Amino acid sequence: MFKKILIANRAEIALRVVKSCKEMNIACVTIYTDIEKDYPHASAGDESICLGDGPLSDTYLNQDRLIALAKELGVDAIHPGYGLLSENPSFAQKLATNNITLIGPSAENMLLMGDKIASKAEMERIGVPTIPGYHGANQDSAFLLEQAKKVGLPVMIKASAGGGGKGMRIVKSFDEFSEALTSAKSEALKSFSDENVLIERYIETPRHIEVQVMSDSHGNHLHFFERECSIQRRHQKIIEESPSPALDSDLRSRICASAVMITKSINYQGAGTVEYILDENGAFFFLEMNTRLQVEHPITEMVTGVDLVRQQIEVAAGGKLNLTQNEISQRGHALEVRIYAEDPDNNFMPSIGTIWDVTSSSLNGVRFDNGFVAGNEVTINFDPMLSKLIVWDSNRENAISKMNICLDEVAYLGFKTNREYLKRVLSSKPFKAGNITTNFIRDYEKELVKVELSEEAIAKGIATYLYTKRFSGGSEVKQVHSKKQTPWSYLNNFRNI
Amino acid sequence: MKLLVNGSEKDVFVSEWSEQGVKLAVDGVTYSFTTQELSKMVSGISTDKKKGHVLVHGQDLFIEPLSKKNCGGALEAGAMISPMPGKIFKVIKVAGQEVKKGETILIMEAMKMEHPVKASRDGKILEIIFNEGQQVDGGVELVSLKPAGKE
Repeated sequence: MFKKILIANRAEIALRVVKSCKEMNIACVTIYTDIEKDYPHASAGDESICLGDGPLSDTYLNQDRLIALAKELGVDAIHPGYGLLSENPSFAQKLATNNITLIGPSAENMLLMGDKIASKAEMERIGVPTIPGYHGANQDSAFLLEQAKKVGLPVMIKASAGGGGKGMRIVKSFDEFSEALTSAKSEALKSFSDENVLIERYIETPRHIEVQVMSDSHGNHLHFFERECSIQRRHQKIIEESPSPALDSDLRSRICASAVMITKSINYQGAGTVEYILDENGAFFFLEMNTRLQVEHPITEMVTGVDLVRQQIEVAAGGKLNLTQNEISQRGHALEVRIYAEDPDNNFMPSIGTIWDVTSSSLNGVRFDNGFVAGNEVTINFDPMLSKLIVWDSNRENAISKMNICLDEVAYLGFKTNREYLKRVLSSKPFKAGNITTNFIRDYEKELVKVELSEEAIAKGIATYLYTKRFSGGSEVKQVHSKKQTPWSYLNNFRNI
Repeated sequence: MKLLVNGSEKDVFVSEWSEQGVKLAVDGVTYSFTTQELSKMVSGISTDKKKGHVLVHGQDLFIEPLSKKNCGGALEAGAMISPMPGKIFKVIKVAGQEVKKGETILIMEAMKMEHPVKASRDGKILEIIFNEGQQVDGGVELVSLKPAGKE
């Protein structure tokens, strides 16, 4: 087993990996930048190294620097988390050359799955269904328009190297095609240094279903069932759940078997996620495979009871998976919401500010994967995702209800987040009924508008504000929430003076 | 005192503070709340103790005293303002051009994403206040537009 792991990531995911390292008695190193000095991950490792200031390319994305650091500190494996260098084949290659283990798949696996064109071709070869489209190398505008006409409207233009909705456009009339193509290419070039795009049929009521997989280096390929991640804004997931309400047991076993067939065919190693689009007729199409740990992995951990990070580390160290497929089952229902620093009532624009306080939940079966503490600045330098709130309960209805209660308890105070908006989605009729698609946020825009508070509720808010202000004592930040911090004590102090 | 609550002005008068609670009038209507119920609310206050953030029925209320800085001078409804700090990536229209509501005037770039800034109504562009490549703060007016039919 590894002696020391470097976690090449930040915020909540760095803290998540630290937890498994601790439980496995493996030393770990976290890294951070100047502006993150007060963030929890900056002191979470057995050793924590400051990378100074500068753009990401000088810090978290500086491959040579991270490798030099790993050598200097006697690190034998690197956990890349998600995003950043997690799906970078050249980094995987460099680590291999330097005899440092990457806790992730081979560079070859990454290279194949990171290329949307090559991965779809491979899927076609092994018989996994894909969405009709053109995934070729000819990038001539007139040729692409011709291909779009073959695929049929509506058509989607997507960056070949893309992800997270960057470099993606939907075209509903061929008149819009050329403008959309130009802007998709320019965004692709900026985000991925690669302006190649692919063209695909756009499915009108798609559901996003993904399968968690894990493979060791001894030819064992397992799946940990599905997650449904259909609730998305700006093509990024905001609510995920497992199991999916869209799958019956037959469809579930077929889609999971398809994912395992892929990992077997490409001789995959480590944790991965195969993403599918499910259409209104129950047909599923391969979308892409993420060759890393996924943001929403906790819901799978909640329903299967398996620590996926621990499994990742075990198999990266050459171990055999200590589970068989029959031993893995879904128990109850888990939901995850992503809490973003953003304003859902202003087109989900990112918000910034100082975190005055972060409150916690009083309920059972709640996991809060959070990367921030009171006093931290939320800036535009990093992704606006602050944390993930995960709940587990015996069934979907109870899990939804629990999450709604939880979202009233767990709040970042000091600036706008999507917290209350998530409640609107969870409380809506179509969500409760399980009638969700990746267009949900757009389709139900009108139902998801903010309900104005009554005058009395506003007065209560004002009274609370005045009360907090009056009795917040000498401490910098005071929160009227947990028992030990109740302003009653301050009220008493006040009287005694 | 005057408070700004989620951007709207409220006239607040506190008539009584006691151990039991508070009586106050908001815009002339009187309410009373007990200490016990207020102590259960989730709320926070800024380090300078001016701004507050309170959750009421799960909703966020941002409260601060009304000052010269935040009173008046509000942007005209329909003004095109930068949604967040970022960079002017591309200016598509030019001053003097007539635009239809929804037409993209310029594209901002922030968080590695492009955000089109669209005409908020039909009209004529009087001025595009920033040039391509310029950094702009959030909440800043980007385009000055003369609505159609107004002389």
